[in-house]
Amino acid sequence: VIDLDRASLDRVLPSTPGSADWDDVMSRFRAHRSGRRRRLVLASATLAIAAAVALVVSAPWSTSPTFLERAQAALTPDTETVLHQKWEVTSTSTDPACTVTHGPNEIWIDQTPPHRYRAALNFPQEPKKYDPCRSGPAYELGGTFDAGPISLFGGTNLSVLDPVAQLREAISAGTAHDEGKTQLDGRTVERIRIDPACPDPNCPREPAYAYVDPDTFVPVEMHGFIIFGPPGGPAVSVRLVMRIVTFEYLPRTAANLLLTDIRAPNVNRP
Amino acid sequence: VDELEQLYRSRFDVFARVAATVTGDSERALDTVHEAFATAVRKRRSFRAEGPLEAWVWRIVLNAARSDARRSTLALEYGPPAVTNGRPERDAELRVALARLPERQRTAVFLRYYADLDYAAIGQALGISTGTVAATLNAAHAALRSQLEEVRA
Repeated sequence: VIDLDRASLDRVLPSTPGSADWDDVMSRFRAHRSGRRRRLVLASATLAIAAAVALVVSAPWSTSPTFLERAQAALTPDTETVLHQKWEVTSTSTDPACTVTHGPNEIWIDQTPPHRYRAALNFPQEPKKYDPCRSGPAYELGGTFDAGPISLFGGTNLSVLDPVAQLREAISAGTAHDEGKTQLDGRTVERIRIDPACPDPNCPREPAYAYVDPDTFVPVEMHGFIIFGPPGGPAVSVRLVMRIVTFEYLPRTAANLLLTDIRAPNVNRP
Repeated sequence: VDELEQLYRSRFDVFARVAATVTGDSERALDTVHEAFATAVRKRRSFRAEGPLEAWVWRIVLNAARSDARRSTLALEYGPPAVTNGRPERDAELRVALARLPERQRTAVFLRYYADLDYAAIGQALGISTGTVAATLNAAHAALRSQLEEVRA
């Protein structure tokens, strides 16, 4: 059944977009060496600033656990449901300069393990790199969440397909912070900051933000970034706004379960 | 440094393509491999020769690739479509089945069957015991077989 040999793996692996360049390796090595002393000096100053900032900002968040605990409880779905979500993503890039809206995107996720899902997406699929200035074409993904995220080759990381799961994980991990009520397109929402959970000191520090309904905790928008660039090198940041158009839990009926099956005819698409 | 340069020149393509399965993007994988080799040059004196040099470098490359994969605060990952050459349907099925494996199983498969590392070297590269390598590869085989049988049924 399985052809696990070098030739078959060679056919499914992505090709390398560049060629070997040992000079580039050595120039990075020299850059590390020359930057090391400067970083040591900066480190103590950074620590002092971080401590000062922590003192200033800790007070407004003193009530956050209550709100976040309630949010987490409310956002833990009943296993006898199917999540149906429709959203669009607006990406804003400065280089190249453009703003593009990708959508509509739609997903159905069975809330009972192994969490079978079917997604109809309009994210761009560029062959070699993400192009924030292009949209589409439409395509579908299907499988189960428990089989692991599909992030290889033409895949899309599923965490972004279920913002509630992402928010729950952030609350559990202690990286979510309630920043209180704010206005978003004329609507009162609760803003939750999600700090990047990345141990690498070279990681960017930009947080993501979840805007949720303050009463139902249903997500309204998610704001974040995609980062490109080598570790420690110049990074290009593309701002993303995920606007949730529909967010509902359907009863886990046979008809609704069929919506999570990539092999079934999609009743919502011709 | 000469040995590292020799390894880089002879195995560059293998490092870059396997790293792309972790980062999800070939160009970022290329940067990751260059950065990892620069790190290897910097830390070359910490190599204890308890295993092959290549296994030690693989560990640095894979750690760098994993760090890179974690860099997106809202992760969307893109990459090339399936390369089709001769048996497009079977290749596409295998590609999807591999994509669904947990990251460690998938990397172990590529290190064993694409990079031709032995179990001991894979263990050093992944930071696990040789016995765990065998168990990981067995689990990967079982998962791939199950997925491909389901698709082809």
